[in-house]
Amino acid sequence: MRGISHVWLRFAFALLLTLVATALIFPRSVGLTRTASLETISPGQGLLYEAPWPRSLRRPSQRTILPEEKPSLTENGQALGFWVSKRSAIEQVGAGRFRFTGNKVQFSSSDGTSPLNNGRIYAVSTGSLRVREPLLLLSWAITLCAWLSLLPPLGRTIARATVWFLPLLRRVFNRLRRELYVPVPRDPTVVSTPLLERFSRLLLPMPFFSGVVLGLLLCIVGGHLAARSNIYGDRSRFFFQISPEGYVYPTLENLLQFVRQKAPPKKILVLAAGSSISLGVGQQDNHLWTDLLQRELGDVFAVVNGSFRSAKFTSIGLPLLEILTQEYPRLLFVTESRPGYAPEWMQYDSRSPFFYPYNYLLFQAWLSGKLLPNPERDQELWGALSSSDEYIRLHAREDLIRAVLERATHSSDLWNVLSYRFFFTLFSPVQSPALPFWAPRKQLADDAWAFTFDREQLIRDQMHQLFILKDAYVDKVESSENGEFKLSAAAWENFAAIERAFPDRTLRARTLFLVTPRNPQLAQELDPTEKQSYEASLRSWSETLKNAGFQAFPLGIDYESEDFIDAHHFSNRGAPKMAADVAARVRRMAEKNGWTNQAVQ
Amino acid sequence: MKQNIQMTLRSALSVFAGLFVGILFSYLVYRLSLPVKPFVYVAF
Repeated sequence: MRGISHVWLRFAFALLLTLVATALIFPRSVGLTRTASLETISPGQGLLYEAPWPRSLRRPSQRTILPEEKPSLTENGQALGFWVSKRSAIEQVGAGRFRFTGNKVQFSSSDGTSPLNNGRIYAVSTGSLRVREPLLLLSWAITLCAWLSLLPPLGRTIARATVWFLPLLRRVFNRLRRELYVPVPRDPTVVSTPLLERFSRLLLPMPFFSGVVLGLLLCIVGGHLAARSNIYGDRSRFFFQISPEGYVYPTLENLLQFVRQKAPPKKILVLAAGSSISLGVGQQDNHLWTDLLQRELGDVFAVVNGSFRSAKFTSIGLPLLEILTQEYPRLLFVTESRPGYAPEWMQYDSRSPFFYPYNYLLFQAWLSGKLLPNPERDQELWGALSSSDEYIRLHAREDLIRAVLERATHSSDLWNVLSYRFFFTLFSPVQSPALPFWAPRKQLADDAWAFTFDREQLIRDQMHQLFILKDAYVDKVESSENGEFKLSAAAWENFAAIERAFPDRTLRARTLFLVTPRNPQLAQELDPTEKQSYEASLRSWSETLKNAGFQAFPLGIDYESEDFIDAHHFSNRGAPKMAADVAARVRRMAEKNGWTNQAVQ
Repeated sequence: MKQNIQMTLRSALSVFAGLFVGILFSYLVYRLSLPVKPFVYVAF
């Protein structure tokens, strides 16, 4: 008894030493905190604000071996977002990101408002103890010795416990060994054999391997058949649960069948394949702009929505256009554009926290051999496969292997059908709201997005959105001496990239770019010169596209705030206006090509 | 006779077990080719 209490005392002492050493190294973890508010805050670029490190607070000591305790930044007592190392993340994204650099604190407010006039208190907290590293190392060495001295009595305790547990463990182990893993008994006197062993001895090698080959072949044939079926034909668009956000990755064949089944070749196909604006994020499935466009255009046309959230036209829209042009003599392609912006062929960016999920579709289209010749694109794809940037090289190769496997086995074609019609097998922890795990996707409603305009949210996010508006629109034009606006040099460079993406001029004549604006509520916040530049950027970009043989127009420049649900997506209220505006252009394009007279209903 | 029936049953069982493994392999090809990173929409 005396021995046991002695061990317990030593254990308690070691525990106490650990607590003291922890308090010395991370004082804030045990409540030893000093806080001081930021003063003389000054604005930086974008959403970034700066303030000098508070005088009343000592900076944490530098450590070389042990981890440092990072100070935290609070906004009205609430810990702010994330500690980041990049200044640009604070400037562009904001949302409470901050960093400590030199003698300065660089930060952003949690909701994009200005810390200069939002009335909130920003404070830095650090540990109140500042112990030099050698002393910290010494305290941890003593703590370690205390624990090591406990090892012999601990070992004896474990040994005593083992005497109790060992027979039990042995029995469990033997049972498992008998049931799961026993080498083939060659001794004929052995009477009992485990279940798995008996089962495996029943199997005959040749029929088994024939079965494996047959199973694979069946799946491949099933995949071929699945590729010909129109899985998502009962849907108007690739909504949340049947897109990469819902862990569904439609194949190129799925997309092609989606279009083919919805549009007989006799009709004029209007393929809307852009990103979230074309997808109709913000519009309920019964208010979807492409359905309204279909109603506006009538039966001569077949409107198909092949858009995906955040998709660039280089990954999905343009490959679909190139492939389907060979099947549909009368095809019009509708997609979005914004001034001075040209998407790259592939979106591999190791620095971006955003993962772009559609590169695989471009590789599938490339491998299909159905794309129109475009040497620059070929060069880009080959270049990515042998890029010196490891991130790009590995991701490109992964996407290529994925496309090769899909071409050989049609496994995604098959399992996409099964997951849509019968059972779903993929779990994604990031889905919000959580989706039923096994439920086939056909049972899920197209209702995941917000459908009402939240003015308050836009006001809260105003600083961030105004920054985007200026960066993506206002700065894309320059005013000349005679007061006219012209595109900036960078915008011209990107325009040339768009031209190169469409080397075939007949494709340009079939392409309608919707040059999309931002919510007018944001434009109201611009000063008169900025507002002029903003509107000029939309007009100049449309004109420039038109001069190169495309069709383009600034969509929704005269819409009201309520026609949007946020900064740039059109709402249920905006959808009919959007449909009417696009219908007028589409009809004109069809007439110009002399198609409306040929169409057979 | 009994031996023949046994062999037939064993062959059938082997084929079905093989079929199961083949289908599992197809599923693995599908599953392993999906990206590890989930796609989370970020608006800029």
